[in-house]
Amino acid sequence: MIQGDLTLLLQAAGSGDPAAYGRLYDAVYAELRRVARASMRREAAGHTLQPTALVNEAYLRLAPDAPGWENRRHFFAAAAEAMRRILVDHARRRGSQKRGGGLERVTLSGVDLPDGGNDIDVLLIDAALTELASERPRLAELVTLRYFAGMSIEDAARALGISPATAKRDWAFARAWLADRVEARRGA
Amino acid sequence: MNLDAEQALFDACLEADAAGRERLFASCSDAALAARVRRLLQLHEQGPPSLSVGVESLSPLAMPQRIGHYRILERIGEGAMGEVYLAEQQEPVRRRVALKVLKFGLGTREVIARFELERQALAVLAHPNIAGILDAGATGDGRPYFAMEYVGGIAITRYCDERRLPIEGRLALFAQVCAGVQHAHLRGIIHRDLKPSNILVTEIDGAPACRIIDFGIAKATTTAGADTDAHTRIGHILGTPDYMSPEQAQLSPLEIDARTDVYSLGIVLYELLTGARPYSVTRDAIAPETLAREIAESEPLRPSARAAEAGADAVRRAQLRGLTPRSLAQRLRGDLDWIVHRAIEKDRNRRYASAHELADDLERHARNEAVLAGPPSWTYRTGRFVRRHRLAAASAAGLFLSALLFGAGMAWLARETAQERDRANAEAEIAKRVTAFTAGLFGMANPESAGASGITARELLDAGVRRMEAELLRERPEIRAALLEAAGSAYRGIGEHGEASRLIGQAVTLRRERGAAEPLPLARALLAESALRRDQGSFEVAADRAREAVQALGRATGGGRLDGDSELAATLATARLDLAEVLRRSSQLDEASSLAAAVIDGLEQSGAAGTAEYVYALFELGRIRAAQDRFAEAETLLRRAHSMQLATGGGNSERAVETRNGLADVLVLTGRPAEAEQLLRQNLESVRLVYGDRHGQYGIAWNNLANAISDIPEKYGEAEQAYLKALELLSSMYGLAHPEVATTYNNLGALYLKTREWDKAAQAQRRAMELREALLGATHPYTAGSKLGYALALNRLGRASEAEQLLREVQAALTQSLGPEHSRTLNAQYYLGVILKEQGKTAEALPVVRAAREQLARVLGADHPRTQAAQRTLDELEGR
Repeated sequence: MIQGDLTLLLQAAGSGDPAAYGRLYDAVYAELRRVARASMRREAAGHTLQPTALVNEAYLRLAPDAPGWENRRHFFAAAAEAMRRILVDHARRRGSQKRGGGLERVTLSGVDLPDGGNDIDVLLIDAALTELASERPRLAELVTLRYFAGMSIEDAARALGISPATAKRDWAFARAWLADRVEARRGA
Repeated sequence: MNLDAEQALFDACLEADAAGRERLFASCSDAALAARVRRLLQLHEQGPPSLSVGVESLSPLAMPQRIGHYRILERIGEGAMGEVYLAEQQEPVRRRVALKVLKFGLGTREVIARFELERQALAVLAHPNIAGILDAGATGDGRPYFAMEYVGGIAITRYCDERRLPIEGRLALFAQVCAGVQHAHLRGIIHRDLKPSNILVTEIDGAPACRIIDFGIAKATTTAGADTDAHTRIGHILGTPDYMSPEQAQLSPLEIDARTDVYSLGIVLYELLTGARPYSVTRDAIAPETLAREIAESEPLRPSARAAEAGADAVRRAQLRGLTPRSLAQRLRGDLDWIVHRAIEKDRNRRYASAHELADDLERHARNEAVLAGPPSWTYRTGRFVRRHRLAAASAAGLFLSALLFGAGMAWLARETAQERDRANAEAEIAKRVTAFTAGLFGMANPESAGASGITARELLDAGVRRMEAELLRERPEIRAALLEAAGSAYRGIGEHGEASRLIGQAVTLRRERGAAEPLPLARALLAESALRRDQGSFEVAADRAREAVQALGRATGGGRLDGDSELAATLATARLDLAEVLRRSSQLDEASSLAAAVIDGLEQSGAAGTAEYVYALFELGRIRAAQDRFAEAETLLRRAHSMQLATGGGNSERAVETRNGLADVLVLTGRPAEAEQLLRQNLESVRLVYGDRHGQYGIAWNNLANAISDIPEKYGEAEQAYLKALELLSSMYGLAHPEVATTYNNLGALYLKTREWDKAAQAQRRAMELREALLGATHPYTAGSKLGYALALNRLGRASEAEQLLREVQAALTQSLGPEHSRTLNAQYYLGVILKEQGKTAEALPVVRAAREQLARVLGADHPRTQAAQRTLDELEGR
């Protein structure tokens, strides 16, 4: 994918073309995977991925001069989804290599959590997010943007077309809700 | 869980102080909601949410003690979707069950809601090769679970390898799988996730028995529709994309039908035969796009080629089947290669339409008969040829065609296995002769060039039959009969009734001469003639032929009991239903009704509730109920028949089209024309696909559509055009003297009555009346119906006394044919009253209308528009 193509894709996605969004997702996904692989080779010992750094790196590689906030927003929306997918698949594959399909914890550090760098179980978050998405898609999107693309409250609010105050309230609620789902899973 | 309410309260609490929160909680009437929000606030205030979970707590060793009513005994499996436990149910019966507990994130409420939708359908699954689903619910922490019959077996592939079963043994087990799948398909249930780990084998008295598990689960856990995230959809099957059909892997999924399961069955069969899968989907194919592409594009190696591969692994795989790679390849070459190939065609239209067809072909292989799958190139050529001539799926021509395919396959087999020629039975001989005949057709019209020369199916058949008849005299009678019947049915299929009648008549005569020794061929010939006469509107002859077939088969099955030879029993059921249909059309509803009901009972008792005959029986009884004005029953029966047809991939079949017609009729009669229109537009498309756009059937489909929309005033113009289109197609196909032409004139006339174009109405109705009188007789309800329309038009044209006279005739005819209390008889009576009233004969009109109103209220209900119209007329007559 050359840069000019991506800019065009970003614009097409911005104008609401779902096919363009699909191709954008593909491009971003491929690039993120490449960056993530390289990063994992560097940090093989801990298998620690830093999603925010990866997404930023991918952005700089793919679209250094794509103009404007609109383009950035579509890129990060696609990147957040792609990142989530990569982490989940990574965790699944690691799990299945070890125990024939069982669950395995993969930790993320450096995620832009406001309250500090807690370890998060990717698969649990993913499962809870999917559940949340079926109930309240907007909350799930917000969480995805924050967790997996490292967006700030303000940027995420702009990306979703809501006010920062609403985003803040949504974020507080979604976080508590997710914590509840994960704790419930622990009790199972 | 109501997240909106939860968040509203949560947000309000965050804004409030401690006292304010307590007030909020106090004013909240939903205690569960309040408790949930208290817990969320607590989590929020614990500061950094403790989302970290230790590895230990996720460990598979953490096992619940109880789930729902079930006591957990042990964990017996763990997969991509969740865990499986062996559990004990204590109430209402004590038994062991398998509990499948799904992972989080699969949307508990939706899963259970979707399961509830399926529950009724699942409840009717009762088959020795299916483990039934008993229950579904949510665990304490909100994960969905399913309880199903516990099957202590092992995966079919593993079983076969452990026992080193030879190919025959494997095919025998696979036949059981097909039987189970077919049973479910006929009840409208598609598995969607067939794979070896869902097909378990146990031994009962030393004999292996297959049970298919997880029916209904894939549907409940899959969200259909384009709006779902492809990741989520494919994600839950990520464990086993190897058995997934191309249409399932597509990003915008097609409606899944029986052929999806056929595909998965084909992959399982491939693996049973060869020990390997036809292709392996990259495990790393994370992007669904990649997965879909791999499944759609990977070209599977033929099973025999896979078996012949070099290497230690191939040797080991062959050994597990008691063979060498070479002998295994030899065993698989030909039939089994083709059968597998046909089952896993990427284009589902080219697959077997049902598990039953697949099983049938395997059985043909076992009996050393030619398989339908055949060499791919041959079927492809034939298919193309046939499509060009629109001969293929014309239902009756289908019979001819299957004889043709069968014959060609036979000839090929005979060439390949010359040493077995001695065993060739009479049927094979017949098939070869049919082949020779059809080969002659192909010789005249090379499939590759016929399109350009524009030869019609009719011309092709004419030329073939001329040649055939020249040679016929030298043939044995049974061969002559088979050829005549095949060709005659082909003519019937293209609407050439005269020629069809001549040929089928000859076939019947030949079969009769051979008499009771061969009841099946005799019955088939008789039923072919019966169907033809029915098409022609000669109901009496049609009924006679069907009765003769029923009697011939009844003698052969020992007094008509249905538990004898299965083919005999099936044909007997068909014969009785054919008879019921003729009786229904000639308005002998009581006899038709008891016949069809008896067939349903018989099939249910002999465990054949799910066969094609059963669907036919549901359909037929549904039509009879509709004719008896028992609309609710009719709708239920027809809907059941339709969903079974859809599930078996027969959505475009002649029967499915007829079922939708019947359903649409009921919908119109019960005041839902818009729903009916939808079904009928679907039919228009199905018929055009199957017969082409110059066929009588296509004309009938236009007529039916027009019928439905002629109840919608904005669509009168559209309806008129549709009728005219139907008339043009029908009269050019059949000539004027045909029942369908008469029917269409009648309907067009009825439309003109609505649009108040009295001249046109009178003309059309009169034409219909005269045609029907000649074809069906003066007292036939159809004739009476047209006469009634004619009378109404005449009345409007100021010819009231003529109209009155005609209506009295109508009422008499209907009283005689349908009975005095039938809605149509009452209708005629009401109209008679109206005409009397309009002529000022109030005293005469009053008793007529009053009686009609009372009876109509009883038969159709007081709210029915007809009843209300009668009431209004009555009110006017009584001066209210």
